[in-house]
Amino acid sequence: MKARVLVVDDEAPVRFTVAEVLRDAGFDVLEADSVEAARGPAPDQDVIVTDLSMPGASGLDLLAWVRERCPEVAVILLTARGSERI
Amino acid sequence: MDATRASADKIQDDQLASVSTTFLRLRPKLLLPAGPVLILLLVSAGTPGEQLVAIAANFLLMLGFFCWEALRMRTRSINPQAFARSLMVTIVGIASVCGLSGGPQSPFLPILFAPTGIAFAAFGTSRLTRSVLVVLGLSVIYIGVSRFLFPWPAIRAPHVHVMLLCATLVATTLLFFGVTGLASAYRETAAQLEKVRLEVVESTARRTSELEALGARMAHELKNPLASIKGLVQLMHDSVSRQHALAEAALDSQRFELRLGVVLNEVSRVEAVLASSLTFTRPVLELRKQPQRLDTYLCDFAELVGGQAQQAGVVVQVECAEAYVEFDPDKLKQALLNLAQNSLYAMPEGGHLRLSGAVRAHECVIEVSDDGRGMSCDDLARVKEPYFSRREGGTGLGVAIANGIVEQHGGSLSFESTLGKGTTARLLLPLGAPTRALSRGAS
Repeated sequence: MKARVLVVDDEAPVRFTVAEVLRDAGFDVLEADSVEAARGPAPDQDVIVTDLSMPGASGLDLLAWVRERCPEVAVILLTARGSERI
Repeated sequence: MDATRASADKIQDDQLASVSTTFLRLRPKLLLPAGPVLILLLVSAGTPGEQLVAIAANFLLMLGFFCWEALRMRTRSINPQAFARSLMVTIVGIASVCGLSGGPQSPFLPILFAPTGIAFAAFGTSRLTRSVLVVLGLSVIYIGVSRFLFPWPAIRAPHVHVMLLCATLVATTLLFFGVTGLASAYRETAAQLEKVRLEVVESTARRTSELEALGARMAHELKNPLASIKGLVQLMHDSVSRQHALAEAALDSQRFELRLGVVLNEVSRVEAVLASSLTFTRPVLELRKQPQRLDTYLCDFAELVGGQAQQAGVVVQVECAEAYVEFDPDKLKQALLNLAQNSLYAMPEGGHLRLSGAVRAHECVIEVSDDGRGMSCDDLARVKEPYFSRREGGTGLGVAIANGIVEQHGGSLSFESTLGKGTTARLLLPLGAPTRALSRGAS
């Protein structure tokens, strides 16, 4: 069975690109444009790939939420920031 | 730097005008008391009647000229050319008195140094100094030959010595006021120039840091679209090289089309960011101000946005009395268009877009108001920042450009907004040309 990946990013072109790369690599990919939209499908995923800074709830908020509700789901944070300072 | 040089010349001319005006006002007051002393000395020296009358008449003529100039200077100030002419007339007058009072032996010779010295101090090595020197040269020649023109004897000692001392004193006093005044004027000019220089340095530094910030933000703006373009093109490149794309079924060519569509959109976004940045970073394009009838202009503008507004279910209202204001119609249209588009975006369910114009004492107020969703305090604080946008696909340059245009007119742009109630953008433009406002309403 294909691994399920949820891509979360408010910027459609970036989200689409990441999703396409993952689809091309053979994953079963879902997209969400905000943390709020991601919460529904999140528990059914194997991996969540999320942008760090988004308007409203951030990638870190999603990470905390996933840790609490479905800690078995892996979360990968993406950011264009040059350092670990947020 | 040409602007700095022009302002330096202007400051120096202003200083020179102020000092020479003061000097010309003071001159008759210094010479007036010397008159009776001179006549008294000439009489007691046994000067022949005709010579006495000639000298006194010449002196009075000069004093009259000085008084006339001083009176003129009460209401106006003088330019360098007129000051040089005045000094040359003075030299001719003094030379004439010298010629009548013994030529090369005249006790009034030292006074010639006063106007000449002041001309040197005021005009430096300029053309005006050369003209003064020519007049001085001719005057000296006249004084030399005057011995042969007039039959009168030289003034007797010891009176001639007293007069020589008095003349030296008068010359020194005139030189003192003239030269020290000019010297402090030059110091003042230097101080003002230093101020201008500091202002230039400061504004350059500010502009540089603005451009640096702009560059950093632009790089940030371009990074995401470029990452998408690169990622997608790379994907397609890989799939072509794996011979997948064209050999396989319709789904793959659809995928291809979808990817290429995103790439195209992203390229357009990069272009839009670059194009807007160029306009934003180049507000140096000259303003073409023209007198405009504000109410007509706003009505025309309402027509312009009318189509788009109608589609969005927005009613456009214009509120403006008849008024004439000077501004760049094309640039202001761009500013208003950017603001109106933000307003339309803020009213997805439709609403009212109100354009109002009014002329106050020193400024013209134009407002673009909507009853849309409004902005939070945080957004309101950042609204003028370049690249700040809450709009999907917005470049975040609309307000920054509008602000640049209003500032170029010497005005200011401010915003008032309440969440859920709407936003008002207020443009204040200083009035350049005469304007008039009537109470009649127009719409």
